[in-house]
Amino acid sequence: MNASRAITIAGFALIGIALIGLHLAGRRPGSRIPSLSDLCAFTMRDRWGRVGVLFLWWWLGWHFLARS
Amino acid sequence: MSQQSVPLSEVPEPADPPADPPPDAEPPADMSADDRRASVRGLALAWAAATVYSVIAGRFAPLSAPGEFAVLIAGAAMMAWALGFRLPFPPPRRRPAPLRIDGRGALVWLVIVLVFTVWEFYALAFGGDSHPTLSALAGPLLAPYTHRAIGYLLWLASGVWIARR
Repeated sequence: MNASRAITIAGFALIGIALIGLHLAGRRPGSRIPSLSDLCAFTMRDRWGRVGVLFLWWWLGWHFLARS
Repeated sequence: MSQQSVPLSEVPEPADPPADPPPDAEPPADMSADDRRASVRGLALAWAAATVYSVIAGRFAPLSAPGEFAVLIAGAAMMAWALGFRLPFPPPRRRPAPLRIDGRGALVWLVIVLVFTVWEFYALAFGGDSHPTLSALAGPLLAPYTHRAIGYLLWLASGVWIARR
C-alpha cells in the first residue's frame, strides 16, 4: 500500500471517528451539540425534510449495495 | 392597582419542558397484554422478513438488475411505511423531535460533513488507486456474500431507525 492510499484511508477513518465522537458528545446531558438522533428528528419534523432524509438513506443503499 | 414585590424565593420557576421519552423500541406502558404480545410478534416477524430479504439480496451481484430491484423495492416499501402511507401494518411510532437545536452545535456537524465532502470529491477528481473514494474502498469489503447480506440488514435497520425519528 502506498503512502498516499494509506493517508486517504486514515482520513476517512478520522472522519468516521469524529462523527461517532460528535454523536456521543451530543448524548451527554446538557450538551450543546445535538446528537445524530436529535439532528435527524429535527430535520424530519418537516415533511420535505423527512422525504429528503429518506431519499438520502435510499440512495446510500443503492450506491453501496447495488452499485459498488 | 399597585404592584407588590414578590421575594425572589417565592417566584415560581417556569415548568421544565417535558423530557423526551425514551426511544420507542419498547411498547407503550398502557398497552394491554394482548396488544403487547401482538407488537412483539409483529416485530419478530418484521425482523425475520428483513433477515430473509438480506440473505436473498446478498446473493445478487452489484451492477445487476436483481441487485437494483432489491434496493428499489425495499427502499420504496420503507419510504411508504415511514411517510405514513396506508399499509397493512401500523406506521412507525415516532420519537418526539426536539423543538429547537443549538445552531453552533449543529455547525460542528456541518463542518465534519463538509470535510468529508471535500475529501471524497478530491478523490473523485484526482483519485485513482492512490487516493480512492469511499465507494472504491467499500467495494472489496462488500464483495463477499456474507458481508453484502450483513450490509443489506444494516441498511434496513438504519432505515427503521430513521423512520422512527
